[in-house]
Amino acid sequence: MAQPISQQTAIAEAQDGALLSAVDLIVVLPNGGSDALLTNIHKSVGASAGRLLLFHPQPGPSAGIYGSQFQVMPLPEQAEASAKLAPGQSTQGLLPFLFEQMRRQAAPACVVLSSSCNEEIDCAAAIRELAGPVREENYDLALANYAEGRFAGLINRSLIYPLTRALYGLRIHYPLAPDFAFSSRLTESYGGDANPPSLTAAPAPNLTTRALHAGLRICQVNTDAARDAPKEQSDLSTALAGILNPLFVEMESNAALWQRPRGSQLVRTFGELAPRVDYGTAGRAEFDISRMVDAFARGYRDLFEVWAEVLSPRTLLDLKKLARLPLDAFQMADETWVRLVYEFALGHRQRVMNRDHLLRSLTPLYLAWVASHALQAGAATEKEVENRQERLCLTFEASKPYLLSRWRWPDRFNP
Amino acid sequence: MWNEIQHALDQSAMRVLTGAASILPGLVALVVVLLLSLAVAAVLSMVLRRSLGGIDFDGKVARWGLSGMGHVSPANSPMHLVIRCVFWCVIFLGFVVGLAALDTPLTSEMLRQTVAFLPNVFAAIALLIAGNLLARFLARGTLIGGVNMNVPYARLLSVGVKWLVLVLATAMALDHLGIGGKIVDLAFGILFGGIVLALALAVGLGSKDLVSRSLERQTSERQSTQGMPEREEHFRHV
Repeated sequence: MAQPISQQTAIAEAQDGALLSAVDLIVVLPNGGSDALLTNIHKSVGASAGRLLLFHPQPGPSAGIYGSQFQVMPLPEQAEASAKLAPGQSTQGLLPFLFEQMRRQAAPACVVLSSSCNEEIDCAAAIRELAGPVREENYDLALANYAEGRFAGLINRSLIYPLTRALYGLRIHYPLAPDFAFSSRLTESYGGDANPPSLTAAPAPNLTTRALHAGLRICQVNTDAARDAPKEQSDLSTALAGILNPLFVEMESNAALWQRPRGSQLVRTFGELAPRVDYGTAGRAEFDISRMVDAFARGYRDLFEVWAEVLSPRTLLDLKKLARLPLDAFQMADETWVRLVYEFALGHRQRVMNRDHLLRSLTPLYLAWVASHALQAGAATEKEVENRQERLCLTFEASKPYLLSRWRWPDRFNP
Repeated sequence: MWNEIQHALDQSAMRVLTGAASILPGLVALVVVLLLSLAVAAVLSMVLRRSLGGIDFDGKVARWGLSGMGHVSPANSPMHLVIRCVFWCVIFLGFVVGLAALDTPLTSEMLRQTVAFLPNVFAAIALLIAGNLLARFLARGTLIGGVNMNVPYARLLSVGVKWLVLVLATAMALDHLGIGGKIVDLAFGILFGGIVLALALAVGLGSKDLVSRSLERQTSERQSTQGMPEREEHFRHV
């Protein structure tokens, strides 16, 4: 690797927009990487991408220009801190910085790779694969698709993916993927210089819904990268509220967009999916769901009055039956789960109570779903787990008219 | 003799009749003003019901984050609360105007004191409403947080928080009204201090066994899980 210029000089000059004023690709590594990784990226990505500007947290490789086509810059602390949050929040926090850099550098594409890089994962390849559809196939947003185990990414599996799919009619498996690439057209769709999303403002639309709203092209890229758990560990209810609040806020602002689609369509997916990282099939005894079922039972006993303000009598009756089931037979029906998610979205819209309280009160119900999922998926084959996921998504799609009806006529009687 | 008695009685009756006659116009005016204020209040209520209903006042209040208002309102509707408040304010105003029409030293003094006391009443009502909303908000937050953190007595904790805030708000309101004087301060101090002392004693003495069992359970769980992966690590939510 060539000798870099000093870090202070590089920062100062980049702030003035003096260095590599027109780059071909911006790469952001919020979780950093070694010198070896940067050399690898320089060689394998830079060769095909042209002039490359890479942002990296400190401490890391020295900032500066390496050769004539590759520049490393430190990631500002604010953007670095936001990248450690839960999915959705992390992207949201990074957006203002990314947009500013895209505009300043007149870059046509940007790749964000939040997954950690190690010897087993070729991050340079992941960057190349994510950038490919945007640079070569004119896609505006390429989202990573992961080979995750049956008990990983459960909030995405139970809520984000099926809800987004049912609402917007596209089978995007990770709508809030922390690894993604996007084009300058997507940046422009946010309103150019005049209205960049602010870090302190209300939740900005996430990239996926923004791209859908602007009629831009979205694809998925199968990647070997493994999604990391957020660095800033928060309790489950905080994570749920942090992820669901922006989703529900967007439902309100994008009502005209999601009310039309029926069913769902496949999204073009690039690359091959690696074998799933999994625990293998296992008997029920290996998974201790009793604590989750206890949490649900305690929630049913103590939070019933809170739920009664948002859930319909029919859903409450289903929960009553569920609370009486023995541990072995514990099973939350997909229909019940879907209906209660939709009813929470409606309650969020109607502000039946403080929104944070509302979303946090979902935690015991979510744990009931996880317990049901564990009982079903624990001893199932990979194919059976996929089928179960598909059934859940189809139930979300089939129940969409219920959501629409109550969204449009909230005062109508709902048994 | 009889003539003198009759004269005294006549004079007394005359004085009473004269006094009654001098008050009568005021009383009639009071009744008329009350009837008028009733009519004005009814008209105002009707106008408010239509206008607030037209702008979906209940929905707007909920969107402002004051959904708790519904619980303290008649028919769970903040609109009805506003209408009822306006109605009774107009009636009260009519009563005050009617009293002024009597124009006696007693009513004049009553009127002066009532008007001087009104700001305190409004402040006390505002304190009670704010205290009620805050109590509900904190109680619900404590309940949800407690359940999510597996606190066994989340509901008890939530009720405790609610009543502490309500007692505090009521004591402040009474203090503002000047009712009870130092008794309210003293009672509040004794009640608040008593609750804290009771909690301390409960934890220190009454719940000694409970606390030790809980600590033992935590320790044994920690020991039993040493050297083996936490079972729930199978599940990654985010």
